[in-house]
Parts: sequence; structure tokens; C-alpha cells
Amino acid sequence: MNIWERILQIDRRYIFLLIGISGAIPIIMSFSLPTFVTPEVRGVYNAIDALPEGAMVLVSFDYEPSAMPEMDPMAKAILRHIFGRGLKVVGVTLIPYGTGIGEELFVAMEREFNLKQGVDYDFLGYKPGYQAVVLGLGQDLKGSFPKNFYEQDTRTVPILKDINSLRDFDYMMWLHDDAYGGYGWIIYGRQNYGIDIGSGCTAILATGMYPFLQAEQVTGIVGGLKGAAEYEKLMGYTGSARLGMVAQSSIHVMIIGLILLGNIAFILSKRKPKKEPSG
Amino acid sequence: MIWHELLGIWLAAGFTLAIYSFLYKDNPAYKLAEHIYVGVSTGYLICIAYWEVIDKKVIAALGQHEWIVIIPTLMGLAMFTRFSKKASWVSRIPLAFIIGYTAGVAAPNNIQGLLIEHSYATINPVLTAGFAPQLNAIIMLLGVTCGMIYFFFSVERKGPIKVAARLGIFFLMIYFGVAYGYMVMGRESILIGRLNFLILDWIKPTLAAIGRLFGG
Amino acid sequence: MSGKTHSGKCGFFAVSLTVFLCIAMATVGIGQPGELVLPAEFKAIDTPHDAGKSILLVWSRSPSEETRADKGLEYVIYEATSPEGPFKVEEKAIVGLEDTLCSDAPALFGFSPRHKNFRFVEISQVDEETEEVRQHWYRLGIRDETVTEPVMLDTIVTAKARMNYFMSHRWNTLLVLLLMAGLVLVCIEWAKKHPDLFIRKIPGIDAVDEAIGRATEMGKPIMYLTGYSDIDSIATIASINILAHVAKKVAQYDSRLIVPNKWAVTMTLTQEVVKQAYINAGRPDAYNADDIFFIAGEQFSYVAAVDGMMVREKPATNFFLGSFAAESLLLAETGFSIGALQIAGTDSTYQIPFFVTACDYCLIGEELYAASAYLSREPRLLGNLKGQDITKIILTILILLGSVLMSLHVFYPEQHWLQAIKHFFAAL
Repeated sequence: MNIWERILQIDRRYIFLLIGISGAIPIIMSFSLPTFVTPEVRGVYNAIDALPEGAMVLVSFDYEPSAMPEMDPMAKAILRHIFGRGLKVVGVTLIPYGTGIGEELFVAMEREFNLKQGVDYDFLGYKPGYQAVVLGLGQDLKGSFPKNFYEQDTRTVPILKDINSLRDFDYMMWLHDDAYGGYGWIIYGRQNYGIDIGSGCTAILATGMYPFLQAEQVTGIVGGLKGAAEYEKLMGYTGSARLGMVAQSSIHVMIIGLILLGNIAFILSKRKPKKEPSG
Repeated sequence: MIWHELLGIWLAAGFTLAIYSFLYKDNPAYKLAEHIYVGVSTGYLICIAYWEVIDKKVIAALGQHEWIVIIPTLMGLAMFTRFSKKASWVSRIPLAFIIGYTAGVAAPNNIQGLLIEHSYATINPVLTAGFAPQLNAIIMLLGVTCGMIYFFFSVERKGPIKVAARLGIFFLMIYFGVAYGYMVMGRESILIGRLNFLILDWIKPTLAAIGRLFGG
Repeated sequence: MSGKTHSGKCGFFAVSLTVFLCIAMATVGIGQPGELVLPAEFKAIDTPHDAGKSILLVWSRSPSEETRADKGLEYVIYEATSPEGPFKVEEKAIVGLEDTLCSDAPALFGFSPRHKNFRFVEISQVDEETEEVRQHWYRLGIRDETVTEPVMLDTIVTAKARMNYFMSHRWNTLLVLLLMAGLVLVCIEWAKKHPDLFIRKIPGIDAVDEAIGRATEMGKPIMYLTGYSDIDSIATIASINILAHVAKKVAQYDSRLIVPNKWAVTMTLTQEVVKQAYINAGRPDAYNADDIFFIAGEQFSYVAAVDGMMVREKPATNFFLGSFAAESLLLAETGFSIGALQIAGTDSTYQIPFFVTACDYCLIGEELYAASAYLSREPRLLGNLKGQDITKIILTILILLGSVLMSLHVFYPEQHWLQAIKHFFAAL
């Protein structure tokens, strides 16, 4: 067995180790790389930027804790943009895990922007049944959520005074790690109640969102950690997404190197029999 | 740092390493972490289901004399009849409702939102001003039509259908390649999130604390 | 003041608007430069396909729009609680020249090119204090910066806001739905008479028997996953259909089938389906409900548990059929590492690359739905497949034809009929 054949049969645990090391080095060394903003991310940014002060934004926290490394930096950057512009936010979630995630983010934003629950933001919480929830919010928000996440009567919460249905929101930010309810917010919410939607999703989902962008069903896509890094760039700060992208680039270099090495090894190991004397 | 925060970080780091140990091989540490993970997430789900659904949407609503919630509550409870062999047929009623409701709501909305709107976005002039938009429109049209021909099941693949289906799978493979790239990025993000935690929140503060302890 | 009133009825909306447009077309364009010329026509109609809370006021464009557009020309709506007045103006009823053409709102008026000669405004009929729907009367005025008081049209109009039960602008959705349903029903009848209906080979499904036979020979179990989504996903339903076939084969081969579920409802259904399959195979005694169970609702705890189970139970065959997300590679990679024969299929297209890499067979997208028809050769499923194929053929032709017509429209912009197919697919 020559070296090329040995490379082809390398124990995959060495590859895990190499990937781990290439991801860890940039975190330990902490250096930076340039970030370029794509039109997809700018589509969301511009839509939020164009809203007048005091406009109402609905944010749906539809991602599980496992997606937090990708989604939290994005959610923070977008919420900073929204609250920084003096817009008001109503949060909701279609999945049970979204309650903890949404609450934590609102608490962080409350400290950062000195916000007041019920005046600057409110969190409706979770209700099961994707389509039914979206359609319910479209018809009668307060009937669909008689109490918010904080156990308050939604009819008495000041921020919800003039909000009766999805039609009363100026924009919606859908933060999601899956197509919950078969793209429920788009298929049922936007289509029936005319709400403009921006998609902030995991990288895995991003390709699946492009047909919706082409059909103008979403104003833009913030996809994965890269999208979050671009949003941070637009916001003018370096957060965990931009730092994470350095580690990601380092892993990419390692993966490309391994793919090239594997292919070279494959070609060279195939050549060997031809060179042997026929006997 | 408050002691319970410290304990939380050490527990999280320990469980992260225990789960990653599966990359080497299956072991008791991984099994322990796996079982605790399953238990905790299920417990969390039950808590959320109780406080967000049963407490707020059923008990609170009944307290306000909204008797209509009795119907969905009974339908939900009917699912528990599965534990009885004689009464298990009752659970088919809410199941039938869920399936029927979902199909009824989904059919027109999906036709509208996916089929009609996406077809609308695909129908564009292929002869437009400028080389790039024209090329884009042609690629889009070819990709959509050939992709659709690949998914003809009751038509024999002969002649032009065969060529179009081949072209269709070619377009599909390009899409899969792009999706693969994005997916790898997603995986890396999860790894980076954990590495960030292990290095910045666990190792560095721990080393700093040890340094303070021994270095004064 | 004239007592002339108009009342709109949604049912006659299209006809009345067409007649109205024809009359108005004949009278537009008679204004003289330098003077404010009143619109020739003004009418009120019920807002189509709404909840009965507003009406539309529609009027022909004043010729002065051409001559005095740079002088801040705008329309003013006056409202009164009775035809006798007094008519009052409200800020929200001052209508500028941007986005107020009837052609800007195809959902309300359709795509006729004549609509660009008319303007409209939607007026709420809900009383802000009582929140009840009432009926008011309206007059139209026109003004610009050169006049102090608007020039008023004599016509007084009103309409009653009615709740509409049908979203009439979604007729295209209804048509497609009826077409698809009709074709499927016809094809099912056809398939009943022609059971030898041709279905092209689906390689992954041809391997199902081999995969189950292999597991039986090795004396190891078979693991079947219905995916990440709940029962509202079509892929999950298709997967459960295939599960029925797999379970029947497993019962016949006397092997063991393990079905871990991520959702409680799918668990219930899979138990039901597997039990029925065992009964159909004449082996109800071999059915073990404990092998079809719920694991966890959280994505990665589900994966961790299934992966752990795979490593311990070492199934000879894995089926990953349904809707999958980030867990696809984690599952398939673990299955690969234990040497299982793996058949995957999903409509989550972004997961297919991973299944292609780590599995022996992979059903791409709709092949998953076709597989259940292919396996069972049931006329109902075969007809369904045939009906869908015909729908796809029609759609392909319409998209191609639509693109060609749209290309011609670039050269003949006045030929509006060339946009007909594009407009058919407009979601309003």
C-alpha cells in the first residue's frame, strides 16, 4: 500500500480532528476577514430601514436551541436594527422551544435599549398548530392570543391597542430553522393578509428560500451565519457572526484542501496498476 | 462569577465533550449525555405544552367561561383512548379532524402560494434587453421545464423526453451542489458555536482562574 | 345638487365596470388646457372579496392631469351622512396621483389596460366610535395650487358595504384546484380499467425487497424513519404509505421492524399502519407495539437517540423516507458506519445531496410520492400519479407558451392579450 492508498483509507477520526483544529485556531488567535454584503441581506435591511418610526414589526422566533449558534447572532443584529430605529416589536413563536429563545432575546434587548415590555415590545408566546395560528392571527390577534407570554390580557397591553390582525403590522421578520407549516407565514400569512416578510433562516434552508425571493414573496433572505455576518456589517459592528465567519473560512480552506488531496490520491492510486510490468 | 453560572458552564462543557466523544466511538459518557439530553428536552417540551397551552389556552379560557375550548380539549383527550383496546377507535376522530383540516387548509393556499406564484415568477420574456437577463431567463425556463419533465412518472423516457429528463437531473444536481455547500456551512456554524463556548467561555476563564490561583 | 346615486353589487361588478369604462372612455379628454376639468364619471361600488367593511369610489381621470400635473393636482372626496349633505372633507380622502390608478390594483379591478384611465380610493364604512358598518354618501372635487376651493362634481354616489363569501379574484386557484382534482378523479377511473398503467422504474423502490431479505438473512432488524415533519407534511403521509408495504413484507419475512418517531401523532399513525400490515400479512401475533415508539420532539435529541440506537441494535437496513432537515447526514452517516443498506427519499431537496452521498439508494423529491403508487399498484394511487403527470404536462406547456408570448409582448407592447398566461398565474 503506497502513500496515496493510505490517504484514501485514512481513519475519518483524523478528519474530524483536523476540522476541529482548523475551527479552533481562528477563535484562539482572533483575527478578522472582510465581509461583503449580498443583495439578499440588503433586501431585509432596506425593508426595515424604510419603515417609519413607531412602525409595528412582527417577529416570529421559529428556531430550536440547536440552531442558536447560527440564528442568535442574526436575531440580535436584526432586533438591534429594529429597536435602534425606534420601531415596535411583537414577538410570537410557532414552536414550543421558541418561547425560551424569544424571551431571552427580548430581555437582552430590553437591557441594551432600555425598552419597556408592553410599550416597546410584547411577546405573545407559543400556540400549537402552525397554519391555524397564522390564520388566527390574521383574523383576530387578541382572540387567538387572549394572554401574552407574560400572562397579561392582550386587550390591555398598550402596544397592542391598535393591532387586531396581521394586516396591522408594517413588516414581519421570520426567524426560522425549518419551513414550519409548509412555509406557513408566507403561504397563509402574506398571501391572505398581505404582510411583507423578511426571511432570516439557517444556511441549510437558504437555498430553499430563493424561489420565494424570486417570486417576491419575501423581501430578502438572511441565510445562516454568513447572512448574520453581513447584517452585522450593515449595522456597523463586529459581533459573534463576523468572528465566527473567520473560523468558518478556515474550515472551508481545510475542507477544500482535503477534497483536493482526496481526489489527487484517488487519481494517483488508480494509475498504479498501469505502471506495473505485465509479467 | 456566581457559583451556579460556573456550574452551568462546566456541565455544558462536560456534556458537549461527552457528545463529541461519539466521533471517536460509542461510549458510556455519550450514552449518559444522550439519555439526559432526550429526557431534558422532552421534559422542557412537556412544561411548555402545559404552561403555554393547557394552562393559558384551556384552564384560563374556561375560567373566563369560554366554553368553546371544551371541544378541542375533548378532541385532545380522545387521543389518550389509545391506551384502551376497546376505546382506541375514538382516537381516530381527532386524527381524522387533523388530517382533514390540514389538507383542506393547505390545498388552496399551497396551489396559490407555491404553484401559481412561482409559475408567475418563471414566465418572463426570454428575449429581453441585455445578454445577462436574457441568459438568466433562458436558464430559468430550461431548468423549470426540464426539472418538471424529470418528474414525469407515467411517460416512458424516450426521445426528447429522455433528453429533457437528463437535462433536468443535470439542473437538479447543480441545485443539490449549492444546497450541499450551504448545508456544510450550517454544520460548521454549529461546530463554531460549540468551539466558541468551549474556548471563550470555558477554557480561557478556567486557565485565567488557575493562573490567578498559582500566580497570586 | 343632483340626486343621482349609484349602488354597486359585487355580483355585477365586472359587467357594470366594463359598461362604465366604455361610457367614460368616450367622454375623457375633452378638457381645455389651463382649466380644471372635472372627471367625466364617478361611481361607488362595494369592495369586492372583502369582509364588508369598505367601498370603492372610482372615477375617470381628469384631462387636467395631463396639463396641470406639475401644479399639485389632487382629488378630494367629500363625505355626508345623507344624500342632502352637508358634505365634509377628510384628510384621508385626499387622493394624489401616485398608486391610485385602477390598473395599480389588479386584485380589485383585473388586468384590463383600460383601467389605467381610472382612479380609485377605498373608503372604510366602519364607524370609528360604534365600530358598526354604516352607509355614507360621497362627492368628488378636484383642486390644485392655483385654486383656493376645489371644483366639485355634481354627482353624489353611495354603495353598501357587503361581506363577500368568496374571494372572487382567486378564481385561478379554484380553476387549478378543480382541474387537478378532476384530472385525478378521471385518471383513477381510467386506472381501474387499465391496471397495467405504465410507471417508470424507481430504482430505490426496486431494492426494498432485497433490503428486507438481507436483514432477514442476517437476523438483524430493519429501522424505518418517517422523517422530521409531523403528519401535516405530504412527505410524511407518503412515507407512511410506503411503511405499510415495508411492514407487510417484514411480517411475511418474519423480521423485526423498529420505527422511532419524532412526533406523537405520527407514532400513533405508524402504530396503526404497521399493525394493519401485520394483520393483512396474516401475522397479527408478530406485531410488537413497543418497536414503534416516540423518542423526542427536539431535533438533535431525536438524532442522538436514533444514532445511539443504530450503533447498539445494528440494523441491517435503514429506511429514511419522509421530510428531513439537518439530521439527514447525521443519521445516514451513522447508518453507513455500521454497514447498513440504506434507502432514503425526501422532498426536502436540500437534504438529498447527503442522502446521495451516504445511502445506497435515494428517491429524489416527488419520487417519494410516486413510490407508494409504484409499490402498491393500487388504481387510486396510480390514477393520482397519472393525473399529476397530466397537470405537470399542462403546466410545462403553459410556462413555455407564456414565456414565448411574453417575449412577443416585448416587440408588440400594445397587444395586451400576449400577457394573458402570465396574468392567469398572477396571485392577487
